[in-house]
Amino acid sequence: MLEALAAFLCALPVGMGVGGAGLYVIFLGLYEKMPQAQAQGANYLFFLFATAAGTVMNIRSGLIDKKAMTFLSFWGIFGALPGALLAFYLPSGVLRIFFAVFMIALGVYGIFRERRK
Amino acid sequence: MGIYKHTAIHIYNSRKGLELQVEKENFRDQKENIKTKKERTELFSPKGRLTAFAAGLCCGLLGTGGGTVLILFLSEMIGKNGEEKKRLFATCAAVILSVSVFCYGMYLSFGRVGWGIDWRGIVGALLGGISGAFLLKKMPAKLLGRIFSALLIVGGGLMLYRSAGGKG
Repeated sequence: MLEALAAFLCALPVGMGVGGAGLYVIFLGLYEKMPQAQAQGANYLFFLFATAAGTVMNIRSGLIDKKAMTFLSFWGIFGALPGALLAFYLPSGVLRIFFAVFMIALGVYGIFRERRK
Repeated sequence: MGIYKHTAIHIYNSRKGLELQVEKENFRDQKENIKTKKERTELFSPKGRLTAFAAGLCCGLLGTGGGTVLILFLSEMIGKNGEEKKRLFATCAAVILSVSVFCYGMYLSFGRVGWGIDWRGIVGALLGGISGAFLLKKMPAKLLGRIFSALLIVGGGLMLYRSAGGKG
């Protein structure tokens, strides 16, 4: 039950468009004690369902630039390939440290961006 | 005859003035369209490609953060036009969605995630995403953004603490 509640709370900001997928990885890592790569893998599925409703609405309202989406997706997948392979071969502890530092950097950036606005 | 000539000249000048006015507005619209097209062409530039590559790298390596990278760098290319920014955000979300599908497939094929699906998490995610979209109209995104940023800092700190050997 707690996992459903955590997923719900982490998906709220995703639905609002301010992000939030990182929070779910943190929950899986800290509470469920999941290995980092496994938590990241589970996070993709979480993200898919959290953004599903918003994406459907965007497609229906014609907000998505299909040409740009296809182009950027191709390059994104091209980048995801080495990223994922690196994640598989890095030790879980090292990956967790990279992830934690990145989350802190994102959080600090988010706060300073709001202050600047 | 003088009156008619004067009136004709007046009508001619008014029409000419109107034509010039319409031409001016068309030119301004064209300028805006060219500017918008140019901004959108920037997405296909080498910088756009590199940004998408970096976002994918982030997504594949860390499982998250790709969207932030995309919006951070691509929104500099798109001007202050609100409509274009909305389209950019929607497009970036769709890009990260497709990259996430690919990454999930990779994690599955390399055995990093099992084939079994935890339905509790999925139901929670689905309901949360839908609720978030409705909540956007009632709650300022800025406030939630700040809460989210603070949670990221705290969560990241806890993970670092745990990695350093602390309990938690």
